[in-house]
Amino acid sequence: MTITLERVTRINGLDNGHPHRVLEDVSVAFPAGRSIGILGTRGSGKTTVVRLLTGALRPTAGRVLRHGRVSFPVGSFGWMNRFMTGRENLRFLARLYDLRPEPLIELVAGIAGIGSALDQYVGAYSGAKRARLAFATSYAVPFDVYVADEYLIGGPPDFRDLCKSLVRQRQRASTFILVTRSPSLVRLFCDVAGVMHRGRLQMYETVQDAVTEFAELTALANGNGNGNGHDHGPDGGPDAPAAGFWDEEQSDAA
Amino acid sequence: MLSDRGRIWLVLMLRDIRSRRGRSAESFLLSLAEPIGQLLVVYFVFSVLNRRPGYGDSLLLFLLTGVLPYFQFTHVVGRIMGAIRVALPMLPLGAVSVIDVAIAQFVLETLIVVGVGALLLVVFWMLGIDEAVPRDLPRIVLAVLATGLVAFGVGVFNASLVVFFVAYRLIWTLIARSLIFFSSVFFVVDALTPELRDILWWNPLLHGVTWFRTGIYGDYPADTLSVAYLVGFGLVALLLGLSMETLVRRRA
Repeated sequence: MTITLERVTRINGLDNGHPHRVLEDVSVAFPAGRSIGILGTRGSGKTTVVRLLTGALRPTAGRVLRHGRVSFPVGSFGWMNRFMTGRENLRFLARLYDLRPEPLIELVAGIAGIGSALDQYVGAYSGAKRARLAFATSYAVPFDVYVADEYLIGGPPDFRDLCKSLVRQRQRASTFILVTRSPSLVRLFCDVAGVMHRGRLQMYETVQDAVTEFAELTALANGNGNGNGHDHGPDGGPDAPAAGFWDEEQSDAA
Repeated sequence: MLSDRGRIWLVLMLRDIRSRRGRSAESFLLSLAEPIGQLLVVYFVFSVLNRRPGYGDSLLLFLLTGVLPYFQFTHVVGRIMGAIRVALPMLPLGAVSVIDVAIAQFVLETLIVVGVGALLLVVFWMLGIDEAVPRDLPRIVLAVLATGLVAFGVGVFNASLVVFFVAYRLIWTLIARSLIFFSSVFFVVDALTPELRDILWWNPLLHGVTWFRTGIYGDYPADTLSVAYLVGFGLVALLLGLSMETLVRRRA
């Protein structure tokens, strides 16, 4: 159960009068059951790749083959209708994926811990409640492939610990594809990694090789040839240690 | 495969109903009653003007049989034109496409108009309007399906066109509003002069209204009716609409 790209090209409008090729003739079969990190600098088209992987976007040329049940971007909230309650949105999702609604609702309620808010319109939710519901839902649905756009966990600190354990749990049986600009995230959660750069997606033998290559590209882009493999987190800040990233920068990620 | 799609369309319809109700329960009920309201307004104006029905004994029934196909067409097109906006947040779920949303909107809107229409016909019959009992039910079903085909095709075409040409939404609003005057809602097309008939013939909705009325009245004059044109227009619009939608998806 995984995703395969077959000669995929994706053009996103124009960049300085030329077609902006996010991907150009890229073929890659992501290994099933592994956790794959894809590193990309700001503006390299990471979100476009996530949208291609989840099926929200079609390639300009080539094919994206999805085998098994592929997740929506982990922690994303946009699919929920703000004029429906949390419970109604979960029922919609369960029916869409052909799952029994009540067990899913029960599981999400247990993970999210938002109590009676489940019966309020989601448009009235605070950011924290929104994040709890979104991440709880992401990991409650038994996806074969989880696709994440920068964020694997979110919400208030106590909830993030729960999220981390859910990620570990799901990693045992599912494929994870994390598209990010944070090498520390990739080091923490991935066992395979690649780098996106100028329309290419290069997969590496080891995570460290990918991180080193990414650091060099980042240093070059910043006008500094000294690639040192240090982190550049999703906020663009340098050298954010993994723990700091979890605790300070990913609040209410949804 | 088809049962999977059917499940998804049903789920999308339920979501649409819930979300409309969530916005405002009153406005949802009002949207169901809109055709009734419009019908009563037109009836009131015609009564004040002392107008006779274009056909049959009941002015109310004559107007209803014109207003229903008009509403079916304009409401379906309007809903489908919003399908891209409705579908966008759901696309990351993978299981839903813009066409799925358009089909769900189409079925729901058609069911609402058909439900309201059937209810009104029963009420009219109970009020003593015997003509309200349809003479040819299969013909009515076919007319509704053909008008639905045209509406779906035009809706998908319009939805794609507004992506490239935003002002078209306003142009379409004007076209849709004026269609009520050119679709034989208030008159019998066969009673017009040949010159006028030749011009109005190109309006597919006029054929939808005429076909629908032949199902209600049985012997409604229908020399102008061209089922082939109505269905052909629907198929061409659908083909163009789906091609445009594919183009939009590639460029989105």
